[in-house]
This record gives sequence, structure tokens and C-alpha cells, in this order.
Amino acid sequence: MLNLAKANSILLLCYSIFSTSFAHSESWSQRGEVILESRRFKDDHVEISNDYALSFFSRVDSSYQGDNVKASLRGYARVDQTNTSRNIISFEDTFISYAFGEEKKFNLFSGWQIFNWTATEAFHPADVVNSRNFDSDLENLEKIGEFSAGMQTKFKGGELTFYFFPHYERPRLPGSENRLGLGINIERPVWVDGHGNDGNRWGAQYGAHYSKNLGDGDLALFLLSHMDRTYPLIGTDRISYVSTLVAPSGVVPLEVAFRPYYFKTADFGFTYQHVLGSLIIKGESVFKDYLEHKPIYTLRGLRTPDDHGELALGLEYDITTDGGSNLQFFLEAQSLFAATKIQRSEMNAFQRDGMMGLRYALNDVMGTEFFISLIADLERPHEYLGNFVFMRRLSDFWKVKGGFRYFDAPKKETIATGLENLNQDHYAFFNLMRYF
Amino acid sequence: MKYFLLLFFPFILFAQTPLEKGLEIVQKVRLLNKGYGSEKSSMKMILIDAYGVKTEREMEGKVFEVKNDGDKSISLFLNPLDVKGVKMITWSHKEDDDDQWLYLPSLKRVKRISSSGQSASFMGSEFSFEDLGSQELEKFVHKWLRDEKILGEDIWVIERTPKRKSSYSKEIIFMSQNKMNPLKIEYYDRKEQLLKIAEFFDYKLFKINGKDVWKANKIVMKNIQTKKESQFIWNTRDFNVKFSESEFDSTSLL
Repeated sequence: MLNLAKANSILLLCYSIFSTSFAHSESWSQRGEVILESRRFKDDHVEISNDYALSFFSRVDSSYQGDNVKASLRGYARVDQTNTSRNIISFEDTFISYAFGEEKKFNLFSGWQIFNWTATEAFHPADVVNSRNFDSDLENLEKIGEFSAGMQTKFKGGELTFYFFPHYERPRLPGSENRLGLGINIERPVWVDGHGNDGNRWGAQYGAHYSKNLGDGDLALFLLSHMDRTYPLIGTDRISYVSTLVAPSGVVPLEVAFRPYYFKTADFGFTYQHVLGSLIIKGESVFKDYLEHKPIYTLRGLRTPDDHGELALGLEYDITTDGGSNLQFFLEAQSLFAATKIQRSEMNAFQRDGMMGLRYALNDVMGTEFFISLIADLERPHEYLGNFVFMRRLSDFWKVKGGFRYFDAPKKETIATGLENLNQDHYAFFNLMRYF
Repeated sequence: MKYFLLLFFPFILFAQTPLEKGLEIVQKVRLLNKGYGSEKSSMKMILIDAYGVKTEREMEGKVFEVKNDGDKSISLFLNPLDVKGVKMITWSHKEDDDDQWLYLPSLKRVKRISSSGQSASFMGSEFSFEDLGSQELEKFVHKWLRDEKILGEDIWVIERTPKRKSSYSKEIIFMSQNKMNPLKIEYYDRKEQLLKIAEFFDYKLFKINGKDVWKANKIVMKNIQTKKESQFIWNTRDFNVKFSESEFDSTSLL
């Protein structure tokens, strides 16, 4: 309870300061939500794991839009009743920007921001900037604000943005008690940026993003030199080289602590969406060229990060009924390239997967909505993730969201890989939301 | 015989067909209503169910007039609170499908949406996106039906049939000859049954760029089949507001 008070106090203090500064303005907008979140997993008969979670989530969102100045404060805090490792406080959007001139063709910004460079619903290879909280939906992980400074300008009919990210934001990996984790406690991260001091969380990361509307299509291109947080190697670099008579790999670890190693990479990619009547065609891709290749001793042996490409393609088809409700069908697939089947499976739970989904929005006064999806591995047999969500407003202030998630991916070898880590971690969830 | 007819009935040469007259009327209406430059407004919508229970929705809108094409607009949703901050950008086009984007602040995502969902209900109301969206003349065939009077006002009654996919088979527009704007529109479903009636109230005269332009400040949409009703009310309305066209770019939503 102390943590709950602390986390929310910090958030509310920032909110109060921000509100006091701009509250007199007509251009001031604020919104907030508190959510009572509960989830119940299928019993795994493991004493230390938490099959039940009850947490309190709060988010504040305030923004000011002046003639040339834009400022935002948005962040959230979650406090879990039983599992303190689930507690999190995160600034999502806390930045200030200034646009020059009447046409606002050039602006400077600085602060924490959430970036969303994806077009697809389930697979997001081009959405590479923010660190994630892995204690959330695997196909749509919660994002953690990324501290950045930069400039944006109009260029050739589009928006060109240059970014500088001075801080390595740490992803949140679930603890050993958490059913969505790997079942082990992960130690502090190691940042392999080539500068020797792997514990340093500060360093130069930079990139550019260009987006443009092309009639019925929207194109975005990006390149980034940054710390890749999508594919950490979990293990240790404290290793000793020995005779292959002692260990077949010729390497033995000198410690048993598991640390996530994040490597510096150069990412190049694109996102594209194209409307064809009722159909939307989506595509996004990234190529990752790792700039560091330090060997890490993992549970599967000695590994280095592998340069590879990723491509996700998707279709979305809309149907509107005579009653005014909407049906949206989704069909998506993702593949990792330039790596072997084993490497792919070790890198990503969705290394060659497909998704089918259906959203049914009644478009009624209460905003009733259903979403059902199934992700299936197209390369490895018997790996499925099912998802069902129901949402409905109770009033202008209250809303409920409930559903069920189903993981069916039995382990095929000694060590679980990808989605196998979540096999049989089915859970039902129910959230009660209050907006203010 | 032809020359004989022309000699005695020369008006045949100048007589308009109902289609020509319909088009001429709506072109006149467009000419008068165009040229406002831009508009900024705040609106509320009252949803009334078949039992009389009321629910309110609030939003703000900006419209930017584009020469030789449809307008660009941004709608910002303010209430209910779970959708507060959601924005929708529409670039309407004279002949092509409109371009639309939805900005979801909770995800900071700009999502391209297909304009095929025009017949979907707008925020649970009796208005569809199609009713509130672009009404470009080029997307319809207009046919003059008759002239009549409603409450002492001279009215053109025009039938409008969509050229593209629509949830309506036709609309009957009761156009005020004085206000050069509709007083009533009847919407017929695909089975040619009367589905909804929109009535326009609280007309105010605005002086825009030297022109006198009437604008309705309340639209009441009654669904004849479900007995539900929705009212769309403008709280504030300013014209010729200074906007930059780039504000209406999908990339500027972030």
C-alpha cells in the first residue's frame, strides 16, 4: 500500500504542477482514468507463481496547445496487491514542443514520448523505438516513454523528424512469480554499446523518420542507430573458454545470474498502409544490422545477436451492417528473415506466424465492442494464442473490459522457446474503468 | 412538324428536364454556401432512445475549404470520457472516396480507415458518418421533383440518389429558396422504405466574406423505424478562422 501511495503521489504531484501552470488557458485539456484490474490464471500447481493478480492502475493525461507551444504530461502507475514486481510508474508523454512561424513548418521538441510506427494489429516489426512492459499482451505490449529531443520539419510534402535519444530506457521483464514471465528473476540489464562500460544507461542514439501521404496510401520510412530492446540475449558474458572435453561448446559460464543484454543496432524500415475500397492493405518491415556482436552464454549455449530482417503484412476488411454496426476482419502474417529456423524461434515468439481476427463494434450508445483473434505459428507445429475481449461503457464515466487469453504451445525440446514459455498460462481478466 | 412546334412553342428549346433543374439548383446552393474559408465550431449531440432516455456527446470541429476539391476537416471528441481526445481527419473529394484517419491518443496511433464504413452509426447516434460527412454534388444525381411551400417558405423538392455505394437508395431534400439550405431531408433505405427524417432548425444569418449565408444550428434526426432520435446542436460557430492547411495532415495528429 505504501508503494501505491508513493507511485500515485508522484503522478498526481506532476499533474498538479502541470495543471496549475496551464489551467487558466482555454487550450488546456485534461483526462484521467483509474482502473481496477484483475486477472486469474489457470492453476499451474506451482507454489511460488501468482495465479491471481489484482492491481490498481491510474493514468493522467494533460495537454496544453497554444499558438506555437505544445506541452503534454501523460503517465501511468500500476500497483499490484500481492506482487510488488508488477508495480510500475511510467511517463508516457511528458514533453514540450515549440513550432516556429505561422505555418509551423519547423518545430523543436524534448521530453518523454510514446512512438507508434506500426500499421498492423498483432505484429509490429517497424515499431522499434519504445521499451516495453512485458507484463502485458504479447502482441500489443505496453510501452514505456522514451526520452528524446529533436526537430521536425516539412519536406517534400511530408514530415521529416530527426531524433536524439540520450538515455537507454529499460524494458520491464516480469519477475519469477509472474505467469507472463520466464519463471526466473532477471537481473539488471547490460547495455552493449561498444563503449566498454556496459552498465552505463546513457549514450548517443539517433534516428530519422519520414512520413508522407501518397493519395490512397500512407508511407513512412525510418532509420535508427539505437539500443535494440526487442531481442535481448538473456544469460551472462562472464564466461571462460575451456577444452571441448570439459564442455562441448568450449565455453562455461562463471555465474548463474541471468541478465538481459541489449545490443546496439542500426535499424532501417518502413510502414505502408493503402486503402482499396473496403480493404486496407498494410505492410511494415525492418532490417536490423547489429553493431555489436559480443558472445553471451545463454541457456541454449553461446549466442551472438543475428542481423536479420522482419516483414509483416496485413489485410483489414470493413463491413457495415444496415443497423449501423461495424465488422472488421483482420488477416496478418509476420516472418523473420536471414536466420535459421532455430535462431528465429529463439528470437521471437512470432517468428513466422499468422493472425486472424474479428472486431465487432455495435456502434451503440454504450460503445459495445467484441474482439476475437487467433495467432498460429506457421513454422512450428502446435503453437496458438487465442484472445477474446469484450468492452462496454456503463455510463459516460464507467466502462468494463473483460476477456480471456489462451496459450497452447507445448514444449518440444528440453528448453522452452518463444510462446512455449507461456504454454497453458490461460487467464481470464476483468477491468473496471472510471474516467475523469 | 418539328419547326411548326418550335414556332408556336419556343419555350421547348429552353425547358429544363427535372435532372437539369435539380443540378442547377444544387449548383446555385453550393455557390452561395462556398467561400467561407474555414470554420471552427463546438457541438453537442443529444441521443434519445425509444423510451425518451437522453445521452449527451460533445465534440469540436475544424473545417478547411479546399479550392477545386472537397473540404478537409478535423473532429475532436470530448465526451464520453473514454473517447476524449480521439480525432478524425477527413479529406473529402468531389468524385473519389474520401480519405480518413483516426487518431487514438491512448495508443498514439494514427490509423487509416476505409471510407466504406460511411453508413456506420456516428457515436451511437441516428446520424451516420455519411449524413455528417462530405455532401459533394458530384457524388449524387439530383432531380427536381416539384416546388411547394412549407410554413410559408418557398421550397424546392429535390431527389438525390447516390452514385456510389450508400446505405440509402435516395434522399428527398426540401430546400429553402430563401435560405438556400435544406429544411428537411428524408432518407430512404436500400429497400426504398422511409428510414429517417432530418429537420433543420435555428437558422442564423452569418456574414461571410461579404456574403449573407444561412446556417442551421440544430439538426434533429428521427429514425422512423426504431423511433430513436438524435439532435446535433452547434454551441459556437466561427467562420474564416485562420488555419494552416498542414493542421489537417494526418501526420500532424501526433
